[in-house]
Amino acid sequence: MLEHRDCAEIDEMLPAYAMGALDDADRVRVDSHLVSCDRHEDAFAWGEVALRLADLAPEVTPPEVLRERILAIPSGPPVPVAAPVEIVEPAPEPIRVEVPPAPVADSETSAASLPIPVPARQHRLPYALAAVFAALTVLFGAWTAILLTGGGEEGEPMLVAENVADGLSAKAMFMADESVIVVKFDGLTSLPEGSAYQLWATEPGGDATSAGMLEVTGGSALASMEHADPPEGWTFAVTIEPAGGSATPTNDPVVAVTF
Amino acid sequence: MTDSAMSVDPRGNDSEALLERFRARDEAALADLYDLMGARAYGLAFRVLRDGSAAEDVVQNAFATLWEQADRLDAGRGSIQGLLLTIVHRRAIDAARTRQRALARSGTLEVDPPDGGPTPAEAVAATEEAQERSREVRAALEVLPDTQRQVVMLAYFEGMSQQDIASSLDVPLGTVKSRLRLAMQRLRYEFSTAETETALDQAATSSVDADVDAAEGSDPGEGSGTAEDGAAHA
Repeated sequence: MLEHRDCAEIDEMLPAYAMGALDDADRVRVDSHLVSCDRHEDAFAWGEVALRLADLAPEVTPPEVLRERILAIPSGPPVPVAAPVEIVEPAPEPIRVEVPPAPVADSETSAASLPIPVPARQHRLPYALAAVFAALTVLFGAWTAILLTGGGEEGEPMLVAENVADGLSAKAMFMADESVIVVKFDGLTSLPEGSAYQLWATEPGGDATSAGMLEVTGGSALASMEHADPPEGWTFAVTIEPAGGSATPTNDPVVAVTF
Repeated sequence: MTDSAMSVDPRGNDSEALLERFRARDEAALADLYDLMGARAYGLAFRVLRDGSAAEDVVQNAFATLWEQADRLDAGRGSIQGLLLTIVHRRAIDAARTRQRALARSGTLEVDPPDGGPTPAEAVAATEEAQERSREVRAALEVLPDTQRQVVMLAYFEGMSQQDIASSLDVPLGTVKSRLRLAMQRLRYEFSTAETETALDQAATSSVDADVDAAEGSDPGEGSGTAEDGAAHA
């Protein structure tokens, strides 16, 4: 779990948070703080102020297809389409994916045609994460944290990686000053009963290791883990697995991001 | 929730009713919310992203989020319309920043907004209600010094972080933070004052109406007073 800043400091950041004017690192800090601290009722009031500004945006008639897409939401979203990934090593090597930096995606040719091989053997646990993923935490438990935005300037992440495609996005940050990796996923859709999102971490040259199950709230999931060194070359990928998780990935990643 | 995000449509879809229908997983509520808010949500996303395709994705994602989280909706935390717009704004900023970073990595400078968005002809003619909401916000913004107003607009509609704004304006980060904080405090005061005045106006109008009704319903011989008289008596 991220270490919380003092409430006074969080309060100071709330107006900018509501405006979406914080950088990603501080936004994560505020989000995580608001989830676990109930002393910031003002967050909602600042959100209301920011919301009024939406009235300045002119209404625009959306394309008709958008209505169709939205009306299709209750009938169950299709299986999430993966970000474009490129397999570096074929089976039976461990999962290693490279994620193009630019969000160029083709829903017809992404996950379905780019299967990630599932290693037949049990993956070893990377030493760097042996005791670390116990800290896997879903931070978006509070509605306010989902609805409001924020961020700051101190504590700039040392490494940032992201990947966006077809409405799914993955963003990973390593914050050196706190020795923590934060991975955030957006656009995750509801899964049928009996299925769940599972997070996997793969260090360079290593095997995919379960980093725990993701709890999706509002299409978003956030996980954090302590990590001493810059995770250069690490990949974080999400797959759909049976509820309770799998020892190794049994499906293609729906989204992945590589530092 | 502010009036700006509250709407009542002819079918009785006021905010609370709509929210309850979402909680009850009434699929028709999704269509009603879209019909009610689709143009506003899309307009907001497009204003931030200036990319029609990206704006569509953002709006769809926001609706999906509301639907998935319907059982967690709480009328005490604001109207469903307001929640929708807040999510749309957040997602739009995320998308805008992601795009900017991708462009920065590729060494491409974004000179013109991406194509694929609506033309001016597709913009919906603003209703009187929308015009009034916009007027109120503009009036509040006009109270701000230019420097504070600039920071507000860059943050909210350009999706710029405080650091981005500081770099763009070539001013210290602390200055941007101060400007934004002061601006938000002033806007909060202005919006609050405006709401109070509106409430007082409505109360006065109700009082006048009540007096008129009372006068019309009384003995004709006593009903010669005007509405203004009634207001004065009230």
